[in-house]
Amino acid sequence: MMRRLPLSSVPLSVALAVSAAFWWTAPAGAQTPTVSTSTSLSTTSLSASSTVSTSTSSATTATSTAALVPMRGVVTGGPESVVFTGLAKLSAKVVTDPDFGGTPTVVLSFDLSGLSGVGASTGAKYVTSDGEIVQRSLTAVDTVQYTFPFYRSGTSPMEPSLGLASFNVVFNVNTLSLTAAAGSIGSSP
Amino acid sequence: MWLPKKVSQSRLKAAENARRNRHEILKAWSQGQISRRDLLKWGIFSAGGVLVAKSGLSPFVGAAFADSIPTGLPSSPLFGVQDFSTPMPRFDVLARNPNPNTFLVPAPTAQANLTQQKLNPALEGVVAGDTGPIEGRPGGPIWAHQGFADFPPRVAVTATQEGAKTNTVYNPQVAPQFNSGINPAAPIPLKFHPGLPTQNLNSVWTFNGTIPPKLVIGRYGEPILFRHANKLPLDVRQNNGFGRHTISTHEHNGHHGAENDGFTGAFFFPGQFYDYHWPIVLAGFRSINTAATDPKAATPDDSGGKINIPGDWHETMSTHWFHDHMFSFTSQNVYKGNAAMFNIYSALDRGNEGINDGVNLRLPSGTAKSFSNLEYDVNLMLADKAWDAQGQLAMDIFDFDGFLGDRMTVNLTYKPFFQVERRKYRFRILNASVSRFFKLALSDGSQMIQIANDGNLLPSPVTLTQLDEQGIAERYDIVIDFSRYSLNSKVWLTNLAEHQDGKRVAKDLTLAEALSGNSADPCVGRFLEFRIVRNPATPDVSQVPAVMIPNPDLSRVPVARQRTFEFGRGAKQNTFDPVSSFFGPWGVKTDGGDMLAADFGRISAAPRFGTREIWTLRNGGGGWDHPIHIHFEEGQILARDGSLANVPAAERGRKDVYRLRPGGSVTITMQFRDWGGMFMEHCHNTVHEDNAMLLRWEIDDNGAPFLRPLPTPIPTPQGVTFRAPTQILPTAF
Repeated sequence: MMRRLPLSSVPLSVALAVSAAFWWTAPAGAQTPTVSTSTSLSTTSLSASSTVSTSTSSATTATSTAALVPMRGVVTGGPESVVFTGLAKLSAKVVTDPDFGGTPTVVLSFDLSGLSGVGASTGAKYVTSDGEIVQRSLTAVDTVQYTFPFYRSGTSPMEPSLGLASFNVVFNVNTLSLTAAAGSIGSSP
Repeated sequence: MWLPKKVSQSRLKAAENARRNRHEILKAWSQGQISRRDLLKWGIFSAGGVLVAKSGLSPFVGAAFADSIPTGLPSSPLFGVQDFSTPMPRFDVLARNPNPNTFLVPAPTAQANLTQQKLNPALEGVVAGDTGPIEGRPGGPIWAHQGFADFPPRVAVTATQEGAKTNTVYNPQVAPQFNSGINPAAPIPLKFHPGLPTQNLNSVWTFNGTIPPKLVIGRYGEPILFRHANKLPLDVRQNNGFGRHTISTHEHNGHHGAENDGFTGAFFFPGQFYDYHWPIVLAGFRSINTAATDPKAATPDDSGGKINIPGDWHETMSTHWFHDHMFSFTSQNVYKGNAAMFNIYSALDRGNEGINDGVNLRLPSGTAKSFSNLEYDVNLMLADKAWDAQGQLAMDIFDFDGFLGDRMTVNLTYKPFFQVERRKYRFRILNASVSRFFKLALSDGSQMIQIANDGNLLPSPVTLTQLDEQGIAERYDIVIDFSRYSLNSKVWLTNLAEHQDGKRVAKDLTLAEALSGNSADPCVGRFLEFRIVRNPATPDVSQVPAVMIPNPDLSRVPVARQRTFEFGRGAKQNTFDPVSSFFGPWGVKTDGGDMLAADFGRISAAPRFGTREIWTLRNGGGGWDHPIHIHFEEGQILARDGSLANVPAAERGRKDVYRLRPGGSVTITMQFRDWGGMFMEHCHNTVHEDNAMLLRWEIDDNGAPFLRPLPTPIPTPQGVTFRAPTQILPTAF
């Protein structure tokens, strides 16, 4: 069912290079930088919440990083096009595996409740409360995309329209922390 | 467990040889001819409990291609069978028989029926002339049915556990048009697909020896007497390589007395039965709404009305299952077929979408009967299986990380299809795998509405396009509205969770990745095809209300104790009872003590009757996940990794299985009330459970001699004896 995202049409290395110019300077909620005409590529404003904890039995370490990711994009194909803007909450927890010497695991949690949409024709407000949790093996760069439900404010959340959220995340594999993230909103395939 | 698609013939041959050699050892082990200590002594197991890499035993060694192979079994042959070429059978509903005292012979009794019968010397430990009790339940007052006089059984349900045979009495309780056209009168041989070989007698052991899997229908206020008869082979060696002929049946997650919980050490032998008394009461019935005046605390009658019952309606439960809990052999027995489901109906969750009385939530179901309509309420049992070159069910019990099958089944049918109407359906999805987690999505990325988690309807429905990972034993009830699809279209239920081994999910794939067919995990991707075949004959009047069952408010109940349990590796064995203790690489550390291997004679925790506690469940490592199950009481998750903000919406109801996630922790709160006895807490990756990530806790009644501490049952064919606990941890009481 998947069609290529607008974001994926931008080589990741290029996208991240563009993003790198912004992510330490762009404060949360800042105007999002754009890199293409069809979609937006936004960069993170990493919150200062990196923590490290060590569990008892096996020297396993867990490194958590939280970020607010500016998002922008248009969902087309429904009754009307909807322009989404806002901040996605992203948390990344990297857990080591000293017992088996395996690749660290990353648990990524995305929260889109900070986004809101405006109907292009009616000006109506659209909202989403979607949260998504995925588990991956740690890589320096990873891409996660998933459909998310949204609905016109005041209507039933159980009869939603669908959008597509896409995130590129960058990790420092030495410090096990998230160093950058970029996200965009597009149309569901 | 599987080899990659592109693998040489020599590799396959070596793997098959290794499998055969391992099979001989595991057969001897499973049959009790050798012990784990023997295997350790011979150097076949490592001290950590894993299979030592020996050429001819492990496909990891002795060949140049060993590096990238997670396990060694050849892939299960499909014999030309195509995906989605056979209908998915609905569950086989077990008969509900009124008047248990006359229907059942002998009649059920409060204490175990110790009438003696002559034993067959084919049973281990039996010599000619021996006798033993006809019921395997431990005798005496401690294991008598609690509340048997107050809640006398009103319905009898019977089942046997036995080897594979053809089903000639299939009762789906729906007409064929709601069962993809399956004719229930046609005999159903025990096959995972009509094109696959028939299972041999001892390859599969199911309830009544047949498929489809069984479903029990119950309702609150109507106690059930479930008589489970063990008709497995007397000879422990007749198991086709895995599976144990002694069983204990856990009603997951019944709020019943411990004698009916399926305690791991209360197993019974071939030739015996065990009477499980399920009173089906609302938790808190002894202290909340005792006069039964709350209209939401009610159960359906037979004429469309309802009858009030005592207890807290916020504790109403819906989707249960029951399965074997034999100590150290749960994974083998459940995998072999000892798994069934149990739908519990209430005034809230009526199973009748048409009754509008202000209490009934009117979830998708049907309207023909006063309750328990199944037309649009569908049980799905997901399980990964593997079979050998002859098509017989196969299992490798040597890998203590966990066992993975390479073929997806739904209701024990390989990748089936299911015909649906253009309307809303409820699906009660059970992960009945041994070690595999799922993450489910529809193939078009569209929404599903999750309405329940484990046995409990959520406070509010949650609209999702991908469900959270679903650990072993977790139940997710979802609603899919097929009215958005056109006639004759198809959509597939799809698994996104890719495994490389049985320790944890390696990667939650994107939908595009899962559908691409590129995953090395054969159980990723589409596995159940929905065929939208017709419009409903009558309008869909079902609903998914915005408010379902809010959590009970525990804020005014003081917290009596806090406990911590860490689940990890490197357990040590400090008790050596030959029956109750077991050594394995996994273990549980209680309240900062030692990481201990399982011993059902050890008491690790003993909450006081009538109190509330907070328990923190911690994963001691990052290389694995553990779905932790706590018996008897439903918990509310207070925090993940220390914060409520980390708890997703679909986990904010009540639960009984808690996925810890790698390196994660879950903090829960529970009340301990109504019934007493010994229960368990364990990883529901049943390979971990069996090796030996399990502990016993019991409800203490503040020092009354009846319950503190409970003696440990030691079953034998000649009868159950009792021993003092092997150990009581210092923080238990």
